[in-house]
Amino acid sequence: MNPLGKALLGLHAWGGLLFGWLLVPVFLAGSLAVFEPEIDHWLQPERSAPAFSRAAAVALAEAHLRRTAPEAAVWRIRLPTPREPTLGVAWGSDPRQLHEATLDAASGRPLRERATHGGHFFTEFHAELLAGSVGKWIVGAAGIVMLAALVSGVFVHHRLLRDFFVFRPWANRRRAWLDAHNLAGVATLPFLLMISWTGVVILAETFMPAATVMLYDGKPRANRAEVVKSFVRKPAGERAAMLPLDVHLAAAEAILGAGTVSNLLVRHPDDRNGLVQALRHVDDRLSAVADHVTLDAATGEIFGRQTEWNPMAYAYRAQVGLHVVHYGGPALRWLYFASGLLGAAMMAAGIVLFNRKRRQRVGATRGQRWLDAAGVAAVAGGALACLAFLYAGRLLPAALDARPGWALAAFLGAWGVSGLHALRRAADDAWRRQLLLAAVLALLLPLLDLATARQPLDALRLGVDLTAAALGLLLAGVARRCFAAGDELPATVALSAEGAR
Amino acid sequence: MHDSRAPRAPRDLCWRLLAASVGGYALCWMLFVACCVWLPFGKATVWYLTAQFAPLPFVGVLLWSFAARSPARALAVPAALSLAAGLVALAGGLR
Repeated sequence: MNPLGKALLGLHAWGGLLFGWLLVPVFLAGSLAVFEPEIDHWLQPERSAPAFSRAAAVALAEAHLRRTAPEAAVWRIRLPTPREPTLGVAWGSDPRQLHEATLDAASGRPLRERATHGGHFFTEFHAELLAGSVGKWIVGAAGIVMLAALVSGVFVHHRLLRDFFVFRPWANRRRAWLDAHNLAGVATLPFLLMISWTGVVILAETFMPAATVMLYDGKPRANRAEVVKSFVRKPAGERAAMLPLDVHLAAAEAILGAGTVSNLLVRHPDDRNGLVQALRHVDDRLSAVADHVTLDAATGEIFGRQTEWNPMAYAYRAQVGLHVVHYGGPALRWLYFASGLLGAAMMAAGIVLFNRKRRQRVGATRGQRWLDAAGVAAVAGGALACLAFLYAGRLLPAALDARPGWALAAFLGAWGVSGLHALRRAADDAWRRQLLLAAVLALLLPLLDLATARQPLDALRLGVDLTAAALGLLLAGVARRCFAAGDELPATVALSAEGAR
Repeated sequence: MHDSRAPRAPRDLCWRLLAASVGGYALCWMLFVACCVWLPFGKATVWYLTAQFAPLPFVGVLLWSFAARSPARALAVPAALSLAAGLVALAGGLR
């Protein structure tokens, strides 16, 4: 190992281990978050997926809002997309606190959905551990350690390039784990550097407010208010019939591009000063900035538009776009999903490798048992917790009070049980049993879907089902192949093999 | 470079952790302040520029804190760089 590698070995090994416990679940949740709309759809089996026309859907939404909330100051409409084939309507007085409902995109019929955190649960866990600003600080710190672990890893595993072409799954156990760690690490290194860097950039807004303090007297989001133009005016208090919203949609798309409007925000419908703002989606551009145009509600004249952006803000939002992968379509989503899981697997292999080495050196001491248990709970426990959340989403009664809270309890409870189980079992036994349980739960997920369905099976739910089943097979293979009972090599053999390196 | 196989004293480790965390935070803060004071661009441009390199000082100082030969050096470098960035910012403020 080169001198820098030697100096950084402690940081790489201990930093990787301690923050790996957090980073593996964060990467797992982040990979799931790539498919947030699909998981959302799966968690709410009341949701339908009919063929729809966007213009007709907007007309249906307007009719619903006119019936339900004719006097509301603000209406918001989320247009259906192939990934989210329902129609969202919302109304109220403050655009940030609206009452919401979901409608069938073809008939306009309200879909009485169960209460759930939905797919957003995984996004929130990924970004802030469900703990708001405190969670952002912790995930930010983990991201910084991840970047340092990646850089130090290049020096620690200095034979990376040669090792990349070497995978010896039938060599002794520890060498195989080292190969797996290196192979996954090198294969995903550019992705992991990019995703960790951009993740820390996104979170820096919370934990590094120096520029906000200096430039905006510490007012959060003031930077955003400066670059995103706002076109609003007070209501006139005089009635003027609003043009139909599908007419506004067509006018907005003539400016923003056909089929690109994702949301409509109406302020003071049927007032002479009413406005209709159309927001463009960001699915076809790297930078996550939503162009928007605001039209006079009664006349359809353009009141304001923003399709030009501060270049530096555009560059910053390109980093955000790189992280949240709304651009690039399904191929790139799958690439992110696979790369994220491979990154989690690389860290999991590092955790196993660390613990095996240490166990051979110090034996099964009390401290080592805790380290082993934490490793199992982080990796297998994280997978079990995510599966428990999905099962709770389908099995808890739809009308249960505080339903989202119970689903959260299932998530955390499964994690706690995983930790307790890991503490009571030998390390390899705990790994095998928990990974096998996760595999069985994942393999049974399609059956759960079919058994608790409320709507005909659609492509979105089928995608979640098949992906879960495929991951279940993979987990079963890992559990049986990598943690098979009673074939651990004697410590002396493994140690002499390590010495040969 | 020191040999990491030699056990590090807990106190040695604490100093390095302090250098990595407080040193990284101080350096990033001071660099941001210096940029805000000196860069001849609009407020939003400066804000969105600084945000994009936020991870760099943290990761650099973290790696340095563990690569440095002694805890004293681990602490001294981020402290000196933060001070320098602070002085640069102050000079800009006094312009």
